[in-house]
Amino acid sequence: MVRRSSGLTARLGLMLGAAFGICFLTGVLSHYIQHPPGWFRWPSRPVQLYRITQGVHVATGLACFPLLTAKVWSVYPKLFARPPVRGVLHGLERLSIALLSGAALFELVTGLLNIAYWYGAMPFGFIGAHYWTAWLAIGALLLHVAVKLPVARQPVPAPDKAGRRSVLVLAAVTVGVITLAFLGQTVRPLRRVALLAPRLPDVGPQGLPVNKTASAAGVTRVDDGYRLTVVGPDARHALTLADLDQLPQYTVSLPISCVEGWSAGAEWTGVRVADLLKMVGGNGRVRVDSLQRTPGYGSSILEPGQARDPLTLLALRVGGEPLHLDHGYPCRLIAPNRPGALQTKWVSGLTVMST
Amino acid sequence: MRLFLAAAGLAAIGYGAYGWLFADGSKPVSQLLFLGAVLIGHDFVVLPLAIGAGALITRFAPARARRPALAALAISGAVTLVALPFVLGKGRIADNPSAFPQHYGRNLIVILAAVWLAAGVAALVHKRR
Repeated sequence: MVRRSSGLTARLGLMLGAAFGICFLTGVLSHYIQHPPGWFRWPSRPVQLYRITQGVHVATGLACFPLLTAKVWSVYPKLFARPPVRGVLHGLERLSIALLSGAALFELVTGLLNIAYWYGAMPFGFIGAHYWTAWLAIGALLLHVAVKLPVARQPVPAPDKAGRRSVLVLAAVTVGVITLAFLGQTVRPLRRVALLAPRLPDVGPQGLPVNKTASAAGVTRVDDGYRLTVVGPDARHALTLADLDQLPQYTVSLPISCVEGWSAGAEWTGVRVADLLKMVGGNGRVRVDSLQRTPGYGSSILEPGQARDPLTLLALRVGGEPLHLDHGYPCRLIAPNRPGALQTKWVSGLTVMST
Repeated sequence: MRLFLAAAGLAAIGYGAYGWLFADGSKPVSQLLFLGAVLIGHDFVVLPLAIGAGALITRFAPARARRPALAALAISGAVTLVALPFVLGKGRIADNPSAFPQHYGRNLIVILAAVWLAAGVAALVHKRR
């Protein structure tokens, strides 16, 4: 029958620790890609890498919910142990466990609220809070492992093993149900059973989900007055949509990979950013500006290598049709191995930067 | 090994605490209240409710249905928790139908029905054996 034991707690702790380690690494990676420190470089290959790391980040975070609850359940009577504090060291240990559970729950709940867009429930900025609390959680986790390592290494008595097994099987089944209910948002074959997925990879204008709509970006219509300005050290061009259509067109198959864990592949057709950059010279980073009027992801930076990657396009079409306004008409950036928030839409200009 | 883990842990906690206190836009008081609320909500509301419901099942369910019902209870609780923000739909955006395109309340009921159906079948199979 189901029973608590230190062997069970250790095994749940191992699973949860591994899951939090994965969430931490993939999360810090995603944060650095979007807010790069000076030393950080992110390659444009493999093409699908960010799609996978961020899909894993969100799926693993969702899987942590039942694991964390099971872990706390397995030691629940200890929460009410008497006396509550048996000295300074014990007090510090209890404090570190409170920090660990609090920071871990903070990460899981804010992550869930973020993929549900329920920002009203978070009276602080999600990105900064989720990032900095991740360091608290991983730090408290390492400290907890340091304290508990001898307990976790103790042999498990036979009667405990049977009880442990049924709880672990139940935890695994619960993780499986939650994973199946969400994973179809990024793994298309599972789409039919993804009953709780916040996005479906084929639902949206032109069969592709949208994160920020044109009206949310303050872009109402784009008329014949549209010009794409391309600026570099040697020249400055203002191109009409017809000019862009005259340039050599390329078709690439690249995913939109959202930081919220959903992704969808599509066939994009348009002009190589490298071809546009050749017209104006320079070999530095490139700023991509947008017609977007509202704050937040209104422009992005392309690293020198990614800007000149043959797969990096200013896409005019998706699936053979001109872009829907919500997908960034008249043209959008689409580059390999790049978070969706940085695939700037309604592009108005490319500027080669001097440094 | 343990000393190294502890030192690395303390360093990471220090870095996180620095960010909480001094990073641009950080709201340490609101964040601390939120952290306290989710911690208390989990440890003193969600878990006691689950343990209480489990105790009721153990007390009143027929012996052969006990284990399947306890398992179904645990799965139902976890799935309902992660589904809740989508069922409530506070984040829905009127002009973006591709965000949250499903009927999450109905779908949650479908999942729960499947879980309890499976538990029922498990109890019946157990009886025949």
